[in-house]
Amino acid sequence: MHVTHADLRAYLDEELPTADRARTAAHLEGCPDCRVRLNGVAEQAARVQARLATLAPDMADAPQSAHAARLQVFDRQRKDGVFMVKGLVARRSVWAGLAAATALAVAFSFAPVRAWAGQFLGLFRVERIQVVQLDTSGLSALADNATLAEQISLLFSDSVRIVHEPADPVVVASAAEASERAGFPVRLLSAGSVQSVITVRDGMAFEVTADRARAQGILDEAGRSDLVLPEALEGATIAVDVPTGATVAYGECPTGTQAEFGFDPDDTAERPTSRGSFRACVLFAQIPSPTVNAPADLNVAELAEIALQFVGMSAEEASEFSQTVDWTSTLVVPLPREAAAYEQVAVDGVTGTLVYEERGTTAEQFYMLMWVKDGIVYGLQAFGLRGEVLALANSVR
Amino acid sequence: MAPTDAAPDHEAAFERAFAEHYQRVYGVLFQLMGDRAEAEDLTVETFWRLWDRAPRREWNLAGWLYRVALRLGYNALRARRRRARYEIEAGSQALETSAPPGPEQAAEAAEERSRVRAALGQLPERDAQLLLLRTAGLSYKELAAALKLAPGSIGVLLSRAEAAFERVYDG
Repeated sequence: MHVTHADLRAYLDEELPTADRARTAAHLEGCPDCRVRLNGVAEQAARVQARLATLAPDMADAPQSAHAARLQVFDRQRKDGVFMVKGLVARRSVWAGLAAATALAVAFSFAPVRAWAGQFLGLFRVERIQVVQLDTSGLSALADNATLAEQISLLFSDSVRIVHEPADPVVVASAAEASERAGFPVRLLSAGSVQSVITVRDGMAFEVTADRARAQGILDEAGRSDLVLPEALEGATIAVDVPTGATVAYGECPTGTQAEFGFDPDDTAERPTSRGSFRACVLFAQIPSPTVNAPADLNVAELAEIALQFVGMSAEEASEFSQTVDWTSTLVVPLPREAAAYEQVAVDGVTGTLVYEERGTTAEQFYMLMWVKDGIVYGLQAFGLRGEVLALANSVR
Repeated sequence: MAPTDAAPDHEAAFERAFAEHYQRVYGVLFQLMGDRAEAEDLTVETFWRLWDRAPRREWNLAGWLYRVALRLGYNALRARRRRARYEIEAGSQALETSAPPGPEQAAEAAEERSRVRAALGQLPERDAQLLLLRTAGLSYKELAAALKLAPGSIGVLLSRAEAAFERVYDG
């Protein structure tokens, strides 16, 4: 009984279990054929390894010390916000941001820059959505400023205290189960026989304690010393409560780690993780309005004006816009002018906002439709024709 | 320096994994990227994900680690190719790896590496990964863990991958 090819190779690499190794060695001693085969295997292995060795790092390419790398690993955690900030203003990333389309993603457009509470009530609940278009070309230059981005992310991470950490998302079997877990009636689209996956996303609560001096420093660093933050901001604590929401995915949607992180270490097939894979996928997110609590003496309109000017509006535009918006009940969604267009549409018995790339509405493309009804914020993302997407949204039950 | 509110056994497991695999993970990524800075960045990225996202009860930490490293490497290569494509479309002369001017040996070595990478690129992904990880020094057991293969099959799969490589390289 000759040595199998598998065993020959393992023998060569000294990877055979002891008993088998002894047996193989004994066999080889008395079997010239197998010795010849072993040589063949050895030579092939040597040739190929020699070729591959050219790719390996030589002395000049030795890595930084393990100690230095380790420090960077933990430093990376602090810098996570840098990538987030850069992503927000990249030209095509309005879809990267919107395509997440989970209840939390919709809720996080309430990030501290925009979600300041009303000056009278101190409480903020979403009743409507308003889009504001911005010329973000100036902002993209900022995005490349690593120091600035790092300062913003550090200010953010130092100022934010998570009061309630969300549990992992849970996939449930029915809308009824989702409603029970989430605490509000979870609605579905009438999408025929297309398979749907319902995920319930746990809510979270966090507090932001404003550090006026540092924030002003960032404005100065960004070349916007013309924007002066009000004194009342110093030490102001804003509490944000993001409720549990649900996302319903229809069709072939990237799942799990791939959807969240853009890759799945267990996925050996080369599945595309770019937006191409979202073409066969419809995402329908819903979340009750997040609530924001802030001190009554905080001038929300003033802060909003500063924020709008920072992201690209002129002083006049910002002032005008800020005065027309009821900040206590409006979710303001900024859109880079060059990346997206929007219009108001009738949906689900209310007025919603349809966002799309500026290619007119005759071609198939990605659409994002947002609306608020009975205190629940809805977001629908789909690829197709305008009419189809609206019909889909209006099929909600 | 490490975050303080991690479970002690998670931290200990991370430190062990880091000490044991840092050099080799870098080796794998350097083979893929051919660039020290990029390989270092991706190595840090890999270990950061290990720290931040590896399932707490993952018994096969090493396997997970190499899979993540490979995935990050492939993503980076794809991004690089996309950028190169756009640069070509824009009429730019810059391409991802231009042979550096210099002594003949350096140019030849660069060309060889280019050929090796091209050959690897034409292999089925599992074969390419097997060869890369083996070159980086992984044992059969580690290879099996990283690529989710039966340990007893590594020998023959490795041989076949090598044979496939030679066919593409010489052919």
